[in-house]
Amino acid sequence: MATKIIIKNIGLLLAIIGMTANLQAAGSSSETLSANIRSDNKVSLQAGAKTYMNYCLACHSMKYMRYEVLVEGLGIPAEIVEKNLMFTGDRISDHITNNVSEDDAQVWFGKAPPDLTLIARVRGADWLYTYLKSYYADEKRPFGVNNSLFKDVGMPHVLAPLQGKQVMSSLAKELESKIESADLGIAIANRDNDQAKVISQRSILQQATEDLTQLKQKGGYFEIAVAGTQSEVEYDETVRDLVNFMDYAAEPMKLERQALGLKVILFLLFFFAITYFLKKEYWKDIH
Amino acid sequence: MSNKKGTFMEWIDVRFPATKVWNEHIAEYYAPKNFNFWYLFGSLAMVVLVNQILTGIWLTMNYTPTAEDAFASVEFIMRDVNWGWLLRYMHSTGSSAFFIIIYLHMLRGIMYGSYKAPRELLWVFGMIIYVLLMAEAFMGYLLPWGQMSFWGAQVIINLFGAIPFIGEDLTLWIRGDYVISGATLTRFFALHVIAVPIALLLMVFLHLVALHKVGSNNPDGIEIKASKDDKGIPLDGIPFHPYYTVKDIMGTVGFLIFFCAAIFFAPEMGGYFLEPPNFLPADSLTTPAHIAPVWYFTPFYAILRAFPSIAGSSFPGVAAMGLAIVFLFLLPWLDKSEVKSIRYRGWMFKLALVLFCISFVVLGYLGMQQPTEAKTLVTRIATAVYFLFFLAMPWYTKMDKNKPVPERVTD
Repeated sequence: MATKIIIKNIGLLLAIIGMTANLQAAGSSSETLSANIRSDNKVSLQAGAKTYMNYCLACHSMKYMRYEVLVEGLGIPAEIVEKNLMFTGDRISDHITNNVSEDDAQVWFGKAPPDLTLIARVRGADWLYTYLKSYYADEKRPFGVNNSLFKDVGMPHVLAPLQGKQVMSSLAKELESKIESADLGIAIANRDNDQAKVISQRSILQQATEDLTQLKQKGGYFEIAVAGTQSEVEYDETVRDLVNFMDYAAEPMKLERQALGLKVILFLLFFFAITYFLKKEYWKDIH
Repeated sequence: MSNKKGTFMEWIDVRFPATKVWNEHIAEYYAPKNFNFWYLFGSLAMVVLVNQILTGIWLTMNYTPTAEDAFASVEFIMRDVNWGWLLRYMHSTGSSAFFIIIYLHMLRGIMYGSYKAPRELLWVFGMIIYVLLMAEAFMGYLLPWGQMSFWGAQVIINLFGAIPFIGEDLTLWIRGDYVISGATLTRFFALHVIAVPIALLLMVFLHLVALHKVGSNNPDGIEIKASKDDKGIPLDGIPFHPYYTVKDIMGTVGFLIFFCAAIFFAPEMGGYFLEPPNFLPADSLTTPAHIAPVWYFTPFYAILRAFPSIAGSSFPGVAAMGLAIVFLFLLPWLDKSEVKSIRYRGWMFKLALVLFCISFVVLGYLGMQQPTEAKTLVTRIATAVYFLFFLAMPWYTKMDKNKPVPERVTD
């Protein structure tokens, strides 16, 4: 009987954990690629920290985190952090800030670059990964680049020297213009009250949108026009490591939390059995 | 030793009724022996209340209630305070757990007719606790000073503005400013950590005093005090201690398994307990794409949105939202049934309760969603069902074909 109740509890527990995993999965749409980060991979986290300090920190602070977390959490030796990764702070216990004036940044980019300590908890790792892979050449924009995930974003493609010049593939352009003309077609058909045309344009729109999603997921939406210093595979790895580091920065205690949680739950399951038998002993004479 | 202890207790008892209180409320307080699973939620609510108060005290030690520093101080707690992250997650998960428990506790009361005579005041005190809890949760949610804290509070405070004549002044009075600002934050902090908790504790005390005066109801809805032995002890009653203390300890540990699973493995609960935009600091110039209250308020938020505004005023929706809670207060007088427990009621009450529960859950879901035409229609139907449960209650509870109620509890 006791074991039955305990098994039932474990089942429920797994169901709840599964449910939350589903909820979290539901948060990511078909728009984003899977980042596949490994929170326990220290090499990846260290590489990500290096990329962040060299490419991102000039504009984006991580002001809620201290440099010493790189030592304690990521296992980077303090001397290396002080020599190679600290551009702004004087002491290793300082917060990771930068010296960009908000007013200047407002003028340069149209919006002051946000602090990124917690961005992974706002956007999710998949979104960040996809975002950093979605810059493409667009002459209409002030920095000559646009982003397919975050349209008309103010941020230039800082990682371009690594990735190279990415452009939208001809197939992607074709599908995008097909969607645009179908949108227009539906509007015109609606105005003319031409139901048959609305339906036919809708099906074109639907097909093109599906194809586009497929293309984005499988690759082929973009192509590299001018190679950067990294291959496509290397760039993916750089972005993955960077996103892994940002995910870590957003909640440095995540692994500690989960490890402790396991012990707590195991203890509670054991303790539940004891309290169950205690209750049964007392209640013998009632039922 | 025992002699020494006896004299010590005697010394105390002359000056303070320690033994008397212990016996009256614990050791010789007779509770029905047939409590089931549903009767755990009262003690679990106490456990979570204690959790909220203790973690709240420790969070207060490191939290800074100013618009400039509030957000950073929460991250300071998460990162630099020893075990700060655990305290914060216990508190944030605890607030959602509190509502889950209270909703189930209230459903138990409705199922077994625990609000019916002589327990009307017990129910009303409980409802006051529920309203205080909503105020407590609402004000606590502003404190992290994230985007959802700010904009959620904006939306809810503006609701008061829909009240005719006094609305505008009322919102100004609540905010202490023309917009939500540091002035709002400091007063919400004061109310959240002092005023409302004191009121809550007082009401919980009164809730328990009322409970112990009338005695607990039970799944059969029978008054156990009606059949007593020659010593005046209810035949179907057992002393609260040790029987229900050991049972509640088991229930508490069982609850903690789920509670800790949430704290350690899903503190955000997929965005339901901690909403992702709330990890951005409050920014009065950037409105989030989609503002929805936290899940425990969404059924009432959906009712609000179900009503179209009249002459540009959303007062009908606001009034309906208020009535949705007022009707809960009135349950003891709306229910005309001779029978308390759902076990001995006819099909009408059972059907009404099932529909009511479905409508509540559906409203909760729809309150989180962006409104569309279809969703608004479903919201209106669910709102109608919600109110019909109360409005039609005097009739269907009277017409219902009840089953005969046994003299003594059945299990």
